Amino acid sequence: MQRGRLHDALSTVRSAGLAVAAIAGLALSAPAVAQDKELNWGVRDTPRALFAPYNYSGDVMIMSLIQDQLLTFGTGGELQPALATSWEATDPLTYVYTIRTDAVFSDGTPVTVDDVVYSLNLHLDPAVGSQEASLFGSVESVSGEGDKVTVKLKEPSSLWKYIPASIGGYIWQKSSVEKDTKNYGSPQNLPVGSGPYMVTEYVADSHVTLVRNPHYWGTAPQFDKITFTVLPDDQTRFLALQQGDIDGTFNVPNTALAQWGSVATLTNFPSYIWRGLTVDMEQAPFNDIHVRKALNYAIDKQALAAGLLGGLAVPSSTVNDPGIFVGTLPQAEIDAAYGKLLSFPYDLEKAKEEMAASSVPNGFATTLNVPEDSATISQIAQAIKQSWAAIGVDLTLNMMPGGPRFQIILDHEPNLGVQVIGNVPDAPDPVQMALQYFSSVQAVKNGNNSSNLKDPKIDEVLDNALKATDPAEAARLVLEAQVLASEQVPVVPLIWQKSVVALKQGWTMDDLQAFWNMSVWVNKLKTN
Amino acid sequence: MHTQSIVLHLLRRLLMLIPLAIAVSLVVFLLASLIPGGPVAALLAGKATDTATIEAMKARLHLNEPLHMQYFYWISGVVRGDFGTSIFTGQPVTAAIGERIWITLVLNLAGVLLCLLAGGSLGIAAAVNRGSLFDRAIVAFSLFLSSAPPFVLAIAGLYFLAYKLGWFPLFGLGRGGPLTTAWHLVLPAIIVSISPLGFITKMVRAAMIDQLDQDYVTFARARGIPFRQVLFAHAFRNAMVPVLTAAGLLFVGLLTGTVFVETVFGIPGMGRLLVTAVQFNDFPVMQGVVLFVAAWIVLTNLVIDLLYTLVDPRVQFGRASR
Repeated sequence: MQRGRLHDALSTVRSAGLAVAAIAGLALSAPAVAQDKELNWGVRDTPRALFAPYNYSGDVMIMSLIQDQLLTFGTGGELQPALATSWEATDPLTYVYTIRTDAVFSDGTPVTVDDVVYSLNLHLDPAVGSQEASLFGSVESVSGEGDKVTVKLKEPSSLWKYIPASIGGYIWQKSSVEKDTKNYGSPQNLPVGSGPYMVTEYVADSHVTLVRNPHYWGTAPQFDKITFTVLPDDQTRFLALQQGDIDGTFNVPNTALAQWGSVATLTNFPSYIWRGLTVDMEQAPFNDIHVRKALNYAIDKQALAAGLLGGLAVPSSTVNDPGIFVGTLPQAEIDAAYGKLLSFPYDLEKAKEEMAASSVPNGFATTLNVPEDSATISQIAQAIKQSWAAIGVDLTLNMMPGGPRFQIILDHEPNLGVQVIGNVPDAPDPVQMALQYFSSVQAVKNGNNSSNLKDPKIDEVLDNALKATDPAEAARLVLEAQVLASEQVPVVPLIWQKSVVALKQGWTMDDLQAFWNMSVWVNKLKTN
Repeated sequence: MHTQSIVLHLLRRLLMLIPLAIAVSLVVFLLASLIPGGPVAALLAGKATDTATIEAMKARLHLNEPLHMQYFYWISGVVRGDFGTSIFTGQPVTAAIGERIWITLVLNLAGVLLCLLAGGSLGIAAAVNRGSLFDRAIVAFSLFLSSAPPFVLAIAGLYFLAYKLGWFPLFGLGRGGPLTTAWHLVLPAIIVSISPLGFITKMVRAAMIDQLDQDYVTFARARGIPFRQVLFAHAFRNAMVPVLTAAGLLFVGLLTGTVFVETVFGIPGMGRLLVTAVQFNDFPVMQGVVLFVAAWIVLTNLVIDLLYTLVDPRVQFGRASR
């Protein structure tokens, strides 16, 4: 009997042990619960309202992940479908966009033609006071019918076709914007988009958190969650990257590339940023071409690009980076046109000769307003001051906040002197920058032509470029205008600057080009 | 009678807040209006534009109205509890301040308390050992720390204590709730407490020396009361009045003076809010912060006045003090 009970007990234990082993085996072999793939990204500046009409800034890198655009830019700057599956210029003044029917906002409501029409009309409504209204200057009206949106222009514009892929092309949810336009995009009124991500948290001066938009119509992005952490101090951002608290950042100080490169993977890429000086051709002594040539010859732009900016720049010869023409014209044609530009390689002797031949052979004194919030421009200004001192030009650097400094340019009062410029085109269209700095239309209050270059021939060429419907024709005309302008030396071109991204070691980011921030750029990240 | 004088004193000071707030906001408004370009040029930040765009932006922000009308719009909103909207972020100003004020208050309170604790201890130790090498070393050390620029202290603290030693978090407020946030504020509070340390140390030292030289201390010691009791129960308590004044000044001054610490540690506080507002000519936020600071100064001084009466019952206000 005892043996029977022992046998029963052993059987029970054996069965229990087998059961435990079976359960353990199942548990061990069960697929692991998927971990959310997260991206932590450092930003230097606190984002403004995440609503483009109230925010014409670098925050597009966040907005592009939340909002769809009508079109998008490919790697080479070519236009590609986005919310619009196709588009057609039915005549030089009419563009028709076919809107996809499967796009849904993150709150589950469908994107309608009404939303698209409303979004574009935001920039035309003076009551909204959109900061991008100038990009819609050629637009007469926007209307919708069926699945089509029609944009009518007042006059042909080579720039317009790119705007739907730029900051002006974001599509907003009409119902949520109308509910509270004043506070839209703020931490209290988060934007609703149909892009790959949605905002779940926005704490000003701290962070913005995005999670996948479950209703996104496109290919699911690789990250489940993205956190943009605001780290204004360069050292803190560096240590955060080194420690792994952030995975990357686009805000790498030019002065510390070597330090950052020792702990992170640095990749530089074209950005078409132009930095230079405008010189008021209507003010003595700058109205003397010898003076303008002397100012150019005296600056070692090669040294500026290599020394001050750590290889993140190349010397410039005009406003447009030649890369903006690639894809539209053959490289040989671009090179030939740039070869015709009047150039000023560093030559102190020639600079002195030009000064000697000028109306001010003994030199003169002038002032340069420098935006105190730009370390890059401050460094460049210091270098220019030293360079010009060698030819008798006493340059006083006037450090100013960015706003008041830009207001001086906008006021466009007489005697603008020398103004430092840093600008980048909104689209891969060379007409925009050429118009801004070489057209007499811009040599007015609120314009950018602080050189007061007023040449009817250049105006005619640029006007034709703006109205050209063939991108290649427009590009050729801009090349011609640049050559004509260079002969009058209205500007002191300094550098075309590249941008740089720092990533945690082992990560890379491929195919980064200008206008990267107008795309779902996070998909270009390759993690280990 | 004593209580009545305190209550009347409090009411008088609170009522003074109204004309003070109007005067301060008017001065700030007029000074800000003198900045060329206003917020429009700052917002555009070098982007090409045209006259129509600028005029539309100015119209939306009421910047094309006469100055007195701009101020009227703002003050009439304030009366209704609407302090306007940030031109920079689109946030209601009350929300912008509300999100940040508790962080700044906690940071400052912790910083001031740490400073008072450390400075008070050092000051007492120096006073008790006055004239000795120890006394001179304490004063020199605290002055040395106070002489370092705040951002240098912040970066040094970040690098050595947070990054190298890993004792503290590197930046931000964390995402784990109040305790996590409190922990994230410890190192910034320590940094905040260092700059005024020299001042507090010297003030406590001087006040304690003054009290220790008083007859009652000599008498108490002669009667055999333990020195520790004489020191803390009597002398220090009497020395607290000037220390409270200093603490009040500290608490007020640090409200927007912690911008370096906030920047280095990535903390969304009032300092950064004000700096950004000034940088972008964000009138509504500037006005809101200035009003808040003015109210805070008055309230802090009221609290200090109340503490005086607790520490020293002989202190009275108004007619009762005559």
